[in-house]
Amino acid sequence: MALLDESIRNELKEIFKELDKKVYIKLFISDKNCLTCSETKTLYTEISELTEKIKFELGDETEVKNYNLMDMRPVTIILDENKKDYGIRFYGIVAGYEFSSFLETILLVSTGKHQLKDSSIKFIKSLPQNIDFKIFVTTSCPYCPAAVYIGHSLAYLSDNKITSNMIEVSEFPELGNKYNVMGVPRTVINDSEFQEGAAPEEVIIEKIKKVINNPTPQN
Amino acid sequence: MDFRINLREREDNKLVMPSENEVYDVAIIGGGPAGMTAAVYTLRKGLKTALFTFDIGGQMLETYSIENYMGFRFIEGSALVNKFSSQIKQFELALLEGIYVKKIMKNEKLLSIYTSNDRIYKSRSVIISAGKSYKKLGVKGEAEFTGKGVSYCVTCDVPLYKNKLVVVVGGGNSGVEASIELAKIAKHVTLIQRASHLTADYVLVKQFEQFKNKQILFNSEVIEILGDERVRGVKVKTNNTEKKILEADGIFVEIGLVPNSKFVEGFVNLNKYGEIIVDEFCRTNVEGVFAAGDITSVPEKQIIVAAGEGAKAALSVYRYLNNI
Repeated sequence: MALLDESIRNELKEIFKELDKKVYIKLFISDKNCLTCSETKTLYTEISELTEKIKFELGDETEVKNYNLMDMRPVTIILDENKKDYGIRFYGIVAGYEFSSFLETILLVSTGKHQLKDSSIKFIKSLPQNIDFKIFVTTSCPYCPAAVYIGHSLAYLSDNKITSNMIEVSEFPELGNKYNVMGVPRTVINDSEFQEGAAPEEVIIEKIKKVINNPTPQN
Repeated sequence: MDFRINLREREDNKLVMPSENEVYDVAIIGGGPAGMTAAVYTLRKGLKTALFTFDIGGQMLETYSIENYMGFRFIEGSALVNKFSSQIKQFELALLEGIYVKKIMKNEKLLSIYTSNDRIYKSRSVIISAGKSYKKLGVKGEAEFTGKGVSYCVTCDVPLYKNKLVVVVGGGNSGVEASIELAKIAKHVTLIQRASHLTADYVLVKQFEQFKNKQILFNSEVIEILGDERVRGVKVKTNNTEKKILEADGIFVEIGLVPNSKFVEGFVNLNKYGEIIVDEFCRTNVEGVFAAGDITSVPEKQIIVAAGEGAKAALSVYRYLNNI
């Protein structure tokens, strides 16, 4: 049975009319202990059937090191028409509220249109070091897409200085425990700064400044 | 498995950052339905408008289903927020998000708005529409452990408490609903209720009573939240005397809402619930200061009422500034 019903397919077709350049969904799955790998694969197959602009491909393990991925599956990367990687990652299935995060990222990479403020963009273009976001979410969290949107948009515009990882924490409880995730969204920046809740971009920018001013070794 | 499509509006926006050098015609404090509606009205009247808010949407963000906002038979809260925000973004609105207003001062006819990022903005009038937020327990450990086991969003955080020990505070509808959702997945749920009975609807109470992995403590209250880097337990007082410590990984606080009016205490008149007292023109007791939405003494806290009051406050401001 299809994951996406007729009405969602029609809605998606409308949204995909806005796509400009081609986008690649690259998915890494595993056949061991993976809760949502097969659904995720089915989901992307169904999506890529709706438009010529979205291409879906499975990554193989030899490519993992090129993308510096954590050892959790499924993980999805969104690449542009030239297969350029912007550091945007989704760990876990993009269901529930996170389906919107996923669609917004596709639109972002395809059209280049974003809603960040000029002051934020100016700041991230001049970052003196690499920044890593781990954005912990659940699929039933209405605030979470806002946090993911800011993280992924900053990564997209950062000239590869920022990696933004959405992590669907109910699939990866060990990582959630490691970072003491007891509420979502929770954004962890370079494993040293934390932000609870869906904070506006100004707050995230301030946290990045803190990381830069108090550098701690990255894991 | 469900897939929710709810995208932010993607047209270009005309928003700008507020400036300390500017004197605004109106400063709106709070970005829920009252504040956003007020902004649309003042901007359409050509008033130079600044909006100060922590988030855009307020309580609408956490409302799953809205079935009584006219024009939509059903809409998700976050989808309605996107529709509202797309409507304000078509104007040159000075918007500052992610901050709180600390205080408002009045000097002659000019109002100064002090924000949590240590800026001071000036305006000829103010609309206070800062809404309500979750009532806190007000006990030791609560602030420290918010997001580290103390939660105010059940639907968000339920999946994190699989096989864990949780405490829910509050025996009204939202408390019992939270307890039911948690009992399905958690190892054990303790519901703590100050009164001697649950005040939730009968059907909910019956549903909760069917779970075996639960206990209800009546005449009880949480007096402290304990933990290290995360919550480990709560100290509970029963019948005003007995005290005991319950082991817990998470505390869900469901004890209602309070107006966000602390920052204007002593500046405008509040009623005994902490709501700003306004007249039928949304005027407070301070000239040039108006209020709208859930933060006011106007009865019925509804999105449609808040939006209507926001419109009214905006038009009152327009008349005030033009001495009509």
